[in-house]
Amino acid sequence: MRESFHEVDGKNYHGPAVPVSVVILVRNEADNMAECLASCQWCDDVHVLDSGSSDGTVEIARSLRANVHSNPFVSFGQQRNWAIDHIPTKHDWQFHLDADERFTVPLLKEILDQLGEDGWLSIAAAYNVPSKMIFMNKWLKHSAGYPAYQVRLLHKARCRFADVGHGQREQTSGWVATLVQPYLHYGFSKGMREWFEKHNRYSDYESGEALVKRQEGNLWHDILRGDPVNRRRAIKSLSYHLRGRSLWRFIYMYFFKGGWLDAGPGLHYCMMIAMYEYWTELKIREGTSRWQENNRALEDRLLNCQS
Amino acid sequence: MPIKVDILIPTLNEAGLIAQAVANARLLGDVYVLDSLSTDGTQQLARDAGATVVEHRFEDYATQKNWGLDNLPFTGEWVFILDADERITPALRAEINQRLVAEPQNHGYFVNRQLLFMGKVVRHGGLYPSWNLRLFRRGQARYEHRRVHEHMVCSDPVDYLQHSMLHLRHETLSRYLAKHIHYADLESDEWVKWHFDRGEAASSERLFKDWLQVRNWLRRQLWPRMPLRPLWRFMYMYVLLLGFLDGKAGWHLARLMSCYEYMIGAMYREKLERRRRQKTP
Repeated sequence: MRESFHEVDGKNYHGPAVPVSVVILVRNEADNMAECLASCQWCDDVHVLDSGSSDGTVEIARSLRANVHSNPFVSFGQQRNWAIDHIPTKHDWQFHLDADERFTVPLLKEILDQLGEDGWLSIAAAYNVPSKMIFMNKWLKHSAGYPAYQVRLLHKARCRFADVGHGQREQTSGWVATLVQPYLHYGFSKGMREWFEKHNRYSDYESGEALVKRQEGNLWHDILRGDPVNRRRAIKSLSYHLRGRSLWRFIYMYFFKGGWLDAGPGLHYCMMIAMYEYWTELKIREGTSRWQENNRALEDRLLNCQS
Repeated sequence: MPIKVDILIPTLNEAGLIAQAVANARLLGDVYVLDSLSTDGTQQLARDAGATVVEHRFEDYATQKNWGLDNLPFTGEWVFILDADERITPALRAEINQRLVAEPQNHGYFVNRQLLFMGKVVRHGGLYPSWNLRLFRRGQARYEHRRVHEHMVCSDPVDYLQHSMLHLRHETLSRYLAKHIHYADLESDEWVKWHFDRGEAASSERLFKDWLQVRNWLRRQLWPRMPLRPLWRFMYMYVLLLGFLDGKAGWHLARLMSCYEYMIGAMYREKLERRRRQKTP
């Protein structure tokens, strides 16, 4: 039995029409597609932007009467900009939803209050929207850092995106307002294996970054004088010198941020993040302490001795 | 006159290791590489190094190796099963040549294995001793059917070899973790199977007469239901089996195994939950 998060399930929304088009970026999301589109049934203009799915995502989206477009994926920022520039949405306001995310009824009501039924009232360029991370049928209220905002509702003439790290950031000269009501994020919908594999890749990436930063060697300079992005990276890199970093991260998330209040799912989430931190830490050690070379030398000695 | 031993090396994409493995194994006998349709040129590298290569589509580890035992054109009386990341030391080679002649009554031998990790030989923490039945008289042993961590069943009498082979870990940590994730997926499938298949162990009255069955019961019925498994796994390896004597290598191996245990549990819970949801839609 799923806990109630006021998720729109296609039947429980009875409000007026909403002057917003929905854009969903997908790639191989066949398992998520039906539920995601069901949560968009309040919308009269749903677009799915695919980047080369091979698992039937596109067919499912079509059969559920979404408009399907296709563009090869380069980065999140570029893909979102393509949606803004090339998808002929019926409304000027686009809501960017991911396939593992769902609309909630309170969020829709709040959007309506903001935009008015004809979409003319809002003078904002875009809106930051919070999301609830759902894990093991529970909202990770404390451990997943709620509310973490992302710009998801935007006026297509007033806002674009730029790439930052492996995510994106809004680019606008207008006013970015903030909504209070969240959408739902089923961040584990593709299963545990997928999550572990993804974080194995992320820790490759993180440890690589940290090693490069370490070799560059101006950590202190970056921290004291660098621009905000470089400073954040330098501080992060420096933090990898900390002994038992993964344990500290766990203690911080579970006790200090209140992960324990999220009960079982909170504990598991904190442990998984700590595990991911440990992998990153160990990969940095692997890069700095020459394990492979030492192994080979030892092996040569053992295989060539005449006993 | 030494007795002829054939070496079977099962492979899948082992281009980085295979040439050296074949060269090392050829010092003991003829080498047969059973390849699961590698795409990185393992086959040619093995041939160049002097092995006979046969390709066969992989189903699972036990089936693949049993197929190899049945179908490869072995000529020796004995077979040694070696992985691409394992090496036979000079001392082990000498022992094999000597004991096969001296003990004609035996049908198989367990071989011990030492791991090289972080530039050290790992001697504790349950990774050593690690006895596997790898050397046996052709036709006297087969793999028991299991999707991962398969075991060999051999007819008696069997004995233990005194010297160890080496287990290398040349792969990066990233690949090592990817492997663990894959194994955890397979292992959790087994757990789900055991979860719905209690009959076998519970109904048996001979349970406590047979040590192997007790072990199976602990492994299959009790262990998956224990709380805090990753912690116990760590304590078991690091404290009880003296992993701490291996220094940093022991510490990290124990922690990595604890991660592995955690991932099995996480996937197991997820799979059970999915089965439950399918039953009550």
